[in-house]
Amino acid sequence: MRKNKITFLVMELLLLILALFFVWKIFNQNVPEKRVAVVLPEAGDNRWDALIKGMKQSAKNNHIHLIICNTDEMESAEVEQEIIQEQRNNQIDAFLVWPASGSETEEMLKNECADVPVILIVENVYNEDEQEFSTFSEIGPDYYEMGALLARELGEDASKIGIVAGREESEASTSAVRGFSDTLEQMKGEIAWCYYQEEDCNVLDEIRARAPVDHLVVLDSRTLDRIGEQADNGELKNIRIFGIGYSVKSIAMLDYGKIDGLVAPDGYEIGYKSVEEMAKKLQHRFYKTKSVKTTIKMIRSDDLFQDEDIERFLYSYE
Amino acid sequence: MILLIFTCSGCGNRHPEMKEALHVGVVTYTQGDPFINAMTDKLKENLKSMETEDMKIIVSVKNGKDDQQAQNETVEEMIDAGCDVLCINLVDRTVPSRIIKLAKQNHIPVIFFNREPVREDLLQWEELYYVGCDAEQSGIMEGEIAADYIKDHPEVDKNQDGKIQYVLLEGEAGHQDTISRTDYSVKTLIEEGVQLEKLSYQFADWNRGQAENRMTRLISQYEDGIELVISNNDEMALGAVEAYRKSEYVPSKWPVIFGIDGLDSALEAVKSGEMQGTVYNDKEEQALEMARLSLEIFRGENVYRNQLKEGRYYVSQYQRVDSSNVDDFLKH
Repeated sequence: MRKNKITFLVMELLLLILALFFVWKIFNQNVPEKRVAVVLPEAGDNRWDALIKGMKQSAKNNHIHLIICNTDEMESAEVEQEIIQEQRNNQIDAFLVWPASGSETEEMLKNECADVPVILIVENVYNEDEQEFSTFSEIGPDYYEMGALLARELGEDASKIGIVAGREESEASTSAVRGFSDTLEQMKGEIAWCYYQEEDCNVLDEIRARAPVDHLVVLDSRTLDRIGEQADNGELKNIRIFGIGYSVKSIAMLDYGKIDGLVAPDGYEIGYKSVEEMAKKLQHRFYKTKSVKTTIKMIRSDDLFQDEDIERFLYSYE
Repeated sequence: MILLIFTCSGCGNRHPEMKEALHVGVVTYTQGDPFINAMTDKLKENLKSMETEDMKIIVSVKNGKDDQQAQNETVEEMIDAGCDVLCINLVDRTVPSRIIKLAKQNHIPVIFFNREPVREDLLQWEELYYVGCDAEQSGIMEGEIAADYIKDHPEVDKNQDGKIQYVLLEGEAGHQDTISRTDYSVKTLIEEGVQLEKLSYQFADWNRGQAENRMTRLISQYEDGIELVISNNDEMALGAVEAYRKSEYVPSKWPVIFGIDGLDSALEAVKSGEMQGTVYNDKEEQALEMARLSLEIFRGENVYRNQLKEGRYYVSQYQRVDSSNVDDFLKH
């Protein structure tokens, strides 16, 4: 009799555990995925292909609903602010933001996203004072190191060098130029001129208007692709071109010999890690997001199909 | 009380000064088609010029990576992020149903362009439009320009056998425009009394590089026996030009080459004599029409919409281009 009672109690307990498990499972399935908005300029451009691929994979693994904002060029903090404001009305839980150039962006992000988590992607916010660090976590490559890598690649052969950088008030441009100049200072190379791009300018006209150079260092991916196209048309044929490139196009141009050397960040890694880091924050309210410096690689045309390490790195660009 | 104050402040409009914004999502079939890229650049330019102090226009351009499934996903992402009008250049014109369903569910009007969906699909919802051209007309015009040129230049028949030995460079196999352009160009040449002998036809997916490879093979096979190249578009015609540039033949030994689209580089080739003609596909006019339609749809007006054929079709007219009028088009 006593044995029957114990068996009954054990069975009841098991049934209760089972019932609790199913109730938990039902509620767990009904939890909506957290919505993370991605703010990138010209989000449909192929320079972001690897990055978005990484983000989507990570979103799938971390049960995040990604919203890739419909954007055009983002020439100022004001334009970025409008996009963020619109998405605030789209039930967004967090933002992954490429910061627009200009020193107002940090303040704008602090105001607009005071109550939602933000992680910066690809580059950090621009700060006039180089010693002052941003309060946001950033997942992206080390642009100072990328500039330094290019200077070391040019080595002591380079005599007359022209630099084409992105916007002047951008962390990526200023850091890459500093990295390049600091490293070149230790060698014999001479920088003939450095040009920071302005809105609505024709880069080729700007290059033509400046003193002739032997080497062109292009520190902006989109511009590198455009300049490579011109090299394709036979223009700039006596100039060796090096640069920072994100896109498949840059790699194709390296393969065709239109570009002589390329420093490429791992777009897939930036995308994957940024979503992963945000997922941790959204799962654990008190988690403090971390900055991550992602992988960069110097790629030469000879290495493209011979160096296994480079081949593996380029898988994410496919 | 404190809770009430916080709740009320949250209910108000966070940004009362926000401008009205029109979001136009453009999804092309690929990122590698110069004609489509030129058209979307023009569309962006037109839309930007229509911005006012009270209304901002944001144009987001993405592409379908030559895959209908990928294009459907891109459209879904665009709708998810917020979009007022969609401009779609389909990867596969026969399967727009997923896009139409998504648009209808979310009440987002769609302007299809350049690749025309089948009529039954376009009639599924009153907020579907098409801006483009009639492929048949381009084929007829290409045939007419080629026939006129051959009649005026008997030296085109290099072997003087009374027949013109020709090759065809075709777009995608089974594509409606490929079929129409090929059929009507050849048919028109025959109707105009030109005796033809087909040496070969090659599919090159509208692509310059592929056309160059195919043409290089044809040159090594037929040597100087090719007298006419009819291409379904300018990109492939320019591929043929490139193949001849790299061949051993001097320009006087080249066949005559005709294309369709009126790309800037093709117009330059017509001017320099490397191509003999093309058919101008008025991308500027179509881009302007799409921009006007987008704005009108957003504002709920009906000025341009009332002028559309059956309330949904805008069919732009092709124009013939040869050495006599090429300068007029280069100024575009």
